[in-house]
Amino acid sequence: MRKRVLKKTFKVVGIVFLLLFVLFPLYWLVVSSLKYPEDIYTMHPSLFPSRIRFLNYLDIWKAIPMAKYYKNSLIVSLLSMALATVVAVFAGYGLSKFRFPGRKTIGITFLITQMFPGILFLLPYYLIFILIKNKLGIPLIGTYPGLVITYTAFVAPFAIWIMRGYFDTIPSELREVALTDGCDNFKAFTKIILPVAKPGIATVAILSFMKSWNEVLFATVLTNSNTRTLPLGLYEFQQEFMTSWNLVMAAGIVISIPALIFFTFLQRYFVSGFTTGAVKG
Amino acid sequence: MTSLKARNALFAYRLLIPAIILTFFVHIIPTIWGVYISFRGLNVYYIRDWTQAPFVGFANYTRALSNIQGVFWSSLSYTLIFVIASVFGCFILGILGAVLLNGYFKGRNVIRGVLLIPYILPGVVSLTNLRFMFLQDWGIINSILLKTGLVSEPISWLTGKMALLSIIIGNVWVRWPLWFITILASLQSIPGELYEAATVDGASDWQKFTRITLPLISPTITVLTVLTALWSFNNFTVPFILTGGSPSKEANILSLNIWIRSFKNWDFGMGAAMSVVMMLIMLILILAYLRFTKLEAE
Amino acid sequence: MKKVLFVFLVISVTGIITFATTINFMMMSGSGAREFIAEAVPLFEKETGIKVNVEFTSWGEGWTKLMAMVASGQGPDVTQVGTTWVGALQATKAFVDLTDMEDYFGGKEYFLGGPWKTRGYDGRMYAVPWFADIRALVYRKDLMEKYDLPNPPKTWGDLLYSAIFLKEKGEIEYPVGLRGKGNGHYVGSFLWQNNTDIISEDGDEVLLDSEKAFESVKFWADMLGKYKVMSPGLADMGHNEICVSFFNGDVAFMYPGPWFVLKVDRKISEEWLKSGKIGIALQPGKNENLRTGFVGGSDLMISVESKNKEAAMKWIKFLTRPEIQALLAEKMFVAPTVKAAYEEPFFHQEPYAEMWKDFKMIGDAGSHYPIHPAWGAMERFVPQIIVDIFSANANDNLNDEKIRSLLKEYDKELQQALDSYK
Repeated sequence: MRKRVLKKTFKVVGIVFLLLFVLFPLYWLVVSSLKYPEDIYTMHPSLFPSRIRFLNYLDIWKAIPMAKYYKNSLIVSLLSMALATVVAVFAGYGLSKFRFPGRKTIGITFLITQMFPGILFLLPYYLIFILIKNKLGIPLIGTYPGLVITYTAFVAPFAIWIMRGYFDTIPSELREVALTDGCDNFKAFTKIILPVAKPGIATVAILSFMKSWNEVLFATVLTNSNTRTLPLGLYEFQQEFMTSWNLVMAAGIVISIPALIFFTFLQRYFVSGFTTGAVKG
Repeated sequence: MTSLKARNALFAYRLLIPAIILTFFVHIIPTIWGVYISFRGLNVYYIRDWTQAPFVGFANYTRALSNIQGVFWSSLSYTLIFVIASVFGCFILGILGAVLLNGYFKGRNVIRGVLLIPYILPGVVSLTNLRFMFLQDWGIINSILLKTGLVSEPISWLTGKMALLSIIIGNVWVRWPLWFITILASLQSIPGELYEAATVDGASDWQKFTRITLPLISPTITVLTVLTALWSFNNFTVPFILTGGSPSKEANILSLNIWIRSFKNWDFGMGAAMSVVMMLIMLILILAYLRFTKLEAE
Repeated sequence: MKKVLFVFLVISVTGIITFATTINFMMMSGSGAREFIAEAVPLFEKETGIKVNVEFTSWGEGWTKLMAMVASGQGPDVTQVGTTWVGALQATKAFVDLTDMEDYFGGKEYFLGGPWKTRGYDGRMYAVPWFADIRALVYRKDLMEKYDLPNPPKTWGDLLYSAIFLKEKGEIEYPVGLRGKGNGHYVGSFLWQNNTDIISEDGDEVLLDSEKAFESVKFWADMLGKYKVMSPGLADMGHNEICVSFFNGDVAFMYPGPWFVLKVDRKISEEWLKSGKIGIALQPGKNENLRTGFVGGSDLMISVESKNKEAAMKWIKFLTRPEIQALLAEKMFVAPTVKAAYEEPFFHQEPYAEMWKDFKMIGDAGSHYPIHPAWGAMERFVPQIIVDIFSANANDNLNDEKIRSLLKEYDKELQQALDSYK
């Protein structure tokens, strides 16, 4: 009896602790975004401000071209998401269900790429883009395709790992039945396997979108003022001579909204995708 | 029989081609080029005609590894602390969360969703927010600590010794949900019968945890550890946003250090050399860890 | 048919001409930058028919973008650069040598002395001075009068004495506000105020491992650690926050540029100016004759790859006209580099007239870091020493030895950078 009470208390305390750990900074983020500047630059910031300034959310759009950055981020992230999902689903399926020479090497290569520091290959990557422009006349810097290709490749290894794990849990019999029913490999894949893999695909889609939305380092060199993405906008916001933390927080929230929306609606799939996918990896 | 195998293999290759091309173009070739740069004196004077940058052999490496301002070695030690502490923090919180949320109860799905938010939020936003909270004079953390009397003077979170702790906290805050959700998934695939049998055998909760749970989720833990370690080594957003472009020594972990050297000093040759050394160190550590866990499993 | 062809030809030629005269200009964002562009560009376009595409970037990113521009050979025709960057950029050979055009841009007498020096090294001109960031001592004149303190403080001793006095009187706990984060140019200023520099005159030797350098750094480090008249919390603060603190009454002495009035509501800063609360003076020196301060700012450079160099030069000439310099000052509160600009009506408006007079005088006595190709790599020393000192203070090991050992390290590192140029 006593043990049960102890167990329950431990459980409650633990959950409360985790919730505090996560929610307190988030609360502070929201509260600060609604404060007046004077209430920010003080030695005694209040947890429950006595006055609220909704205008902060209007001011941020005036200070920098946020609408343009929003558009750019949306375009780049959605395209990367689509491309990365396709690439990862194909590759994950191939690695999971087929045996062929080089299978292990390819699998490991994808994982090894996680070891390469972005700062090491940032400059060469940039120079490659320049070479392509000079030799082939295809501009990539400051364009959407340049960024989309980059992000797709960044997200792919992790996404492949998840999809592969997910496909591992789909029994091979499914495919075999489809084949005996007269489908070729591709048809079996699209008609039979894919529909079953929806949660995994949703997971990968959300992750790709999110990682593209949040990327900073490569965006600094691969964008110009026309294609600049939101995280850079936030950074630029901070750097401007005249910024208030309250506006920075408001901008932060606005920048987070798409990712949060995506996540809220697809959370169910996200979790179950992980449930079946990541485990086997 | 073989032609069926061959057809299947061909299909598989076709499935993999896009991913392979991308990886080659974006990851492998530039990295090889990067290694090549580490042997050349590519700095501000040659950046325009980068093909003309002189070949300097191992000079960049010797410069990097020699103790100028203790740049490399102290940076490396702080980086190791950063990585190990981050993995450890994620591990504790991840397991805690997964165990607590394993069984169903009312509102569990909501709480589960909330706990995932740090991972979904853009890193720049979370870290900027944390930085704001850690400000010495205006941050809420010092304010609370002072008001409750836990400290008598404001703590310098972003400069000096505490800076290392701050970036660890930042890194853990954004990464732990991944551990949480993955371990949770792992837990849910453990058949309940194992626990039932253990209860019948008179095992305590702790014993169930250490004898059944931990061993069964250890492959997951291993992968998470490796991935988190790699990402933490390579991630420069966390220290950069929290401590800025001129960090104190304690927060000047390798990734940030290399970035500063490459993009602020325009000393790309040396930055590349440092990156290569860092990669090798990562490789050694990962291999050692994998070997160690393999031994453990046996 | 011929007529159609003719019309088509005329249109396409006109079209080519119109299309051919668009230039790209990269500008660092800051308070008022966009407002300035919104007014200046249409004026220029109307006058010359040349379109200007302005790309804004933040100061932090600007350096990266310049590198990218140099590496790729593609970038804006004209770019704003920090005065401290000119040396390194000149060395990349990616920018146009304007030495032969000195007179076209106005020549030596047209510009203030300090900014003119930033145009290049080895006597060449690669950059045209655009605006000056003149740093002064901005202090609470009313408090100095109230307590009969040196008004203005002319020596380091005056400053320290006044700060300690205000602290002990309970008036302000941490009266001195110097930024603990980022490019605090006061590091250089304190060296110049002690009659020393970072590099020797001949550009061969780094002077950080010297007694004078030690004295300079010790002076402000002691204000932080020993006398506690500087708040450890400054470690997180840049100019914005310090100016806000000043107007909150938490800081009595700071070293900003004229833009400090923009950091709070204009009504407040104007009211303070009118009521005599604000004093503006030359930054104190080790002794009265060594008073000087950092005068930085921005210059303009033309890319060697530009296909519209004449148009680019026209734009620069436009930006350095007295009335446009006044417009710049009005929007961004930066100081003109052009002497004639100070005659413009804007600088005689109250309540700023006195302030501009002060700043012009201070600008004449200003100093700057060496214009040297290696400086780009060496400049990091400035924020680094600030962080290291504040760090040591946070770790409780800020003392004379620590300062000396830090300076020794920097001396070695900067000497390496300097030597690599040779």
